[in-house]
Amino acid sequence: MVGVLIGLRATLLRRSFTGAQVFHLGFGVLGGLAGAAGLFRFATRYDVAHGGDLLALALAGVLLGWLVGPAVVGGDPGIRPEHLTLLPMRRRELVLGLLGTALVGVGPLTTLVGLAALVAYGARLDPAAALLGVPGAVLLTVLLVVLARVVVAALGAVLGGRVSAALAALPWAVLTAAAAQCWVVFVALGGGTNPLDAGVPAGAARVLRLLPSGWPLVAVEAAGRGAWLPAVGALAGLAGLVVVAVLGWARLLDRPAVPPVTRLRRRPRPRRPARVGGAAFGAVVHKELRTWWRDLVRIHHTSFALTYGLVFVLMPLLVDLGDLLPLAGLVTATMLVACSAHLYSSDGTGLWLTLMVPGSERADVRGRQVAWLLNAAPTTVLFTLAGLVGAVRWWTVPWVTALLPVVLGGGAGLIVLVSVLVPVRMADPHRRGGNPGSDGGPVGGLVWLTLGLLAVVSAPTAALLWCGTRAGSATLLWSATPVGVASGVLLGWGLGRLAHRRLARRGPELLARLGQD
Amino acid sequence: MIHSVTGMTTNPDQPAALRLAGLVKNFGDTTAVDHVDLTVPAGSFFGLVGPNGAGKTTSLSMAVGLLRPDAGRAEIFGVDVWRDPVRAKRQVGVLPDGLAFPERLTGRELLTYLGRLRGMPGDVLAERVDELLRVLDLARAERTLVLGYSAGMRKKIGLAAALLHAPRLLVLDEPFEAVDPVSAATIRAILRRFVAAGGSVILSSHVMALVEQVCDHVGVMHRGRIAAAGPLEAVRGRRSLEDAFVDLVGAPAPGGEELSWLAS
Repeated sequence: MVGVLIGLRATLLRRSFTGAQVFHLGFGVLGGLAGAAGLFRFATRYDVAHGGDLLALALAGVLLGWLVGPAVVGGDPGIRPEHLTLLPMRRRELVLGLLGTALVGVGPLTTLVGLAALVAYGARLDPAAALLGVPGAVLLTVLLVVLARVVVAALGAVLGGRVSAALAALPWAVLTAAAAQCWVVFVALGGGTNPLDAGVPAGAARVLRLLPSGWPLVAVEAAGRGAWLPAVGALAGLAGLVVVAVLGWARLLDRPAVPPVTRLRRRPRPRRPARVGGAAFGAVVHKELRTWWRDLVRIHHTSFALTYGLVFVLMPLLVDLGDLLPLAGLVTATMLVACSAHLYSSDGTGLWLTLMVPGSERADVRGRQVAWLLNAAPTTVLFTLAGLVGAVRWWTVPWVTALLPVVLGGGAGLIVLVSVLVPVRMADPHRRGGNPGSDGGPVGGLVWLTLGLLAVVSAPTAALLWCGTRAGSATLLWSATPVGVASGVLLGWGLGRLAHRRLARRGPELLARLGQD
Repeated sequence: MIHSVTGMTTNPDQPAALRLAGLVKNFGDTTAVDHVDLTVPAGSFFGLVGPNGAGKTTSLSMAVGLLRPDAGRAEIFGVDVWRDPVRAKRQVGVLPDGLAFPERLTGRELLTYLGRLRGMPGDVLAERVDELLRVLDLARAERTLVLGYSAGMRKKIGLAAALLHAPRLLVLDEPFEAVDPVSAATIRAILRRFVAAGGSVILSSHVMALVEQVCDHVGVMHRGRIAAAGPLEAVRGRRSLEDAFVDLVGAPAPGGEELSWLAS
C-alpha cells in the first residue's frame, strides 16, 4: 500500500510539471538549490571551526523554514489523509503511506541535496565523519518533513474560529521575526552583528547544536574527533525524534479537522443600500471589509504581519537599540503587502459574479484596494506613531514619512496587479477548510515576487533618502516625503488602473485559470 | 399557477433569446464543443440535455461570457456577448454549476452586494432581497455565511442572484441538482411564472422526466455537438424523451455478463 501511495504521489508530481505550476515548482527548485549552495559554501569555504558554527546556524534556518513555511505560505498538500479515509487500511499503513508520499517532492529533495553539505563538512574532518553525515542528512530530512506535517495537522485541529486563526499565527511570526533579527542575539551574547565575518558567539553556537537541526552536525563533529559514543548517540536521538514526531502526527490524524465557523453570533444589522451612483464601489468595499474580518486565512495572515512587525522592532530593545521602533508600521505594512498578493486566487471561481455584472471590473479592483488600505493603513500609522513616540528617534521621521506612503500606496497597487496577473491554484473557498497550512496554496513564490516588486517601486524614494543622509542635506532628506506620497498615490492609482483594465480585457481567462482543478 | 406551458407559442418577430453559431472550444487536444449551433426562441423554456462531458457547461459558459470561445458567436437578444458584453450581460441572469460565491457573506449580504454592484436603487433592492429570501426559504439562515450553506441552499441563493436584476433570459446549469423536492417544486413554479410573464429560460439537466415536464423546447448534446434540437414534441416524437435520448446518444445498456463479480 505504501508503495502504491508513493507511486501515486510521483505521478501527481510529474503531472504538475505543466502550465502555470512549472513557475511555482521552478521557483521552489531554484530557491531550494540556492539554499543548498549556501550550506555547501559554509561547509567548505570557511575554516573548520567557523564553518561548523555557520553550518549549525544555517541548519537552524532550514528547521525554521520547514516549521514556518507550511503555516504561513501554505504548500502543496499532495495526498491528503481525508482522501484515504474510506480505504480499509490500518493506521500504521496509513501513516507510513502518507509519510512516504510526503517525502516525494521538490522540498524534501532539495533539502536532502543541501544537507549533503554535512557529508562535505565531515570529509574535511575524517572519512568516517563524512560517512556518518549520510544517515545524518537523511534522518534530518525525514524529521523536517514530518515536523512540517505535524504543524499542518495541528493547525487543522485548532483553527476554526477567528480568535484561534489569529493566535495560531503568533508562534510563527515570533520565530520568523526572531530569525530575521538573530544578530540581536549574537550581539547580546557578545558577538558581532555579522556572523559571516565575526563568527557565531560560542554560547549561540552551543545552543544551535542543541536544536534537533544541529544533531547530525554534532554526530559528524564527534566522529571527526573519534568520539564514537556521542556520534552514534546524536544519530540515535535524531532517529528517536523522528519516531516521536511520526507518532504525534498519527495522533493528530485521528482528530478530525475543525470545520470553520460559518455562523455569525448575531444577525447582521440590515444596512439600507445607498441610493447614489457609485454604489458598486461601496458594495465591493463593504464585501471586502467583511471578508477581511471573517476569512480565517486572511485573519491568519494579518495577525502574522502585525506580530512580525512588532517583534522585528522590539527585539533590538534586548540590546538597548530602540532605533528600529519607528519602523514598526513600515515593516508591518511590507508584510501585509506580501501576504495579500493573492486576492483573486483566494476568492477562486467567485470571480464569475464580477464578470457577469457588466462594467464592474473597475469598481471591483478599486474597492479591493480601498478595503485593503482601510484594513492596513490605520494599524500601520498607529504603529509608526507609537514607535516614534516610544523611541524618540527623530532622525527616523523623514524615513517613515517618505517610505510608509509609498509602501501603502504602491502595495495597494501591487496586490491587485499581481493578483490579476499571476493567479495561483488554490482550492475554491467552499471546498476548503480554514487551514492555511493545507489550503493556502503555493503562495510562497508570490510573497517573494511581491516583496521584490515593492522594493523596486520604493527604490526612488529610498535612494533620495539615502543620498540625503549621505550628503547630510536636510532639504534632500525631507524632499523624499513629497516624492514618497506622490509615488504612493500614483502607484496605487496607476497599478490599479492596469489591473482593472487587464481584468476587463482578460477576465474570462483569469476565471479559467482559477477554475482549473 | 400555470401548470403547462408546453403549447406556448414563441414570438417569431423578436430576435432569439439566445443564439449560438459555430461555437468551438478546445482544451488541449480535446474538442469540448464542436461547432455548436443552437437557437433558444424568445419566450421559450429550453432544456439542454446530454451525457456527462457532452459539453453542456462549456457551451453555456461561452454563451454568457464566462469562457472565451475559440471560434463562433453567441448572441443574447441579438447582442453579441463577446463584442458588446455590457449590453448583452444586462439581459441575462446566470446560475453556474459549482462555482464559488463571495463565501464570507450571508445570503442577504450577498444579494445586497450584487444589487449594489448592478447599481439597483436601494428601496427596490431591499424589497426584492426580502422577497427572494422568503420565497426560496433562505430567510431562516439569516446568520449563516454562504460558506456554510448546503448544496441545495447554494443552488437557491445562486438562483436568487440570477433573478435579482429581473433579466429577460435565465441561463441555469443544473438548477435542480441536490435540491430537495419541496424546493424543486418552488423553483419550477418560479421558472414557469417567469416564462409565462414573457421571460426565456435555458437550463441543463440530466433528469429527462423533469425536462419533459417543464420545458417546451429541448436540445440534445453529445460529444460536443448538438444531436437534435427543437420543440419538445418534434425531438421526442412518440417516444418518451428518455428513449429518444438513448437513441440519439446510443448509450448501451449494461448486458447480463458484465460486472458478474459484483455481489458474488
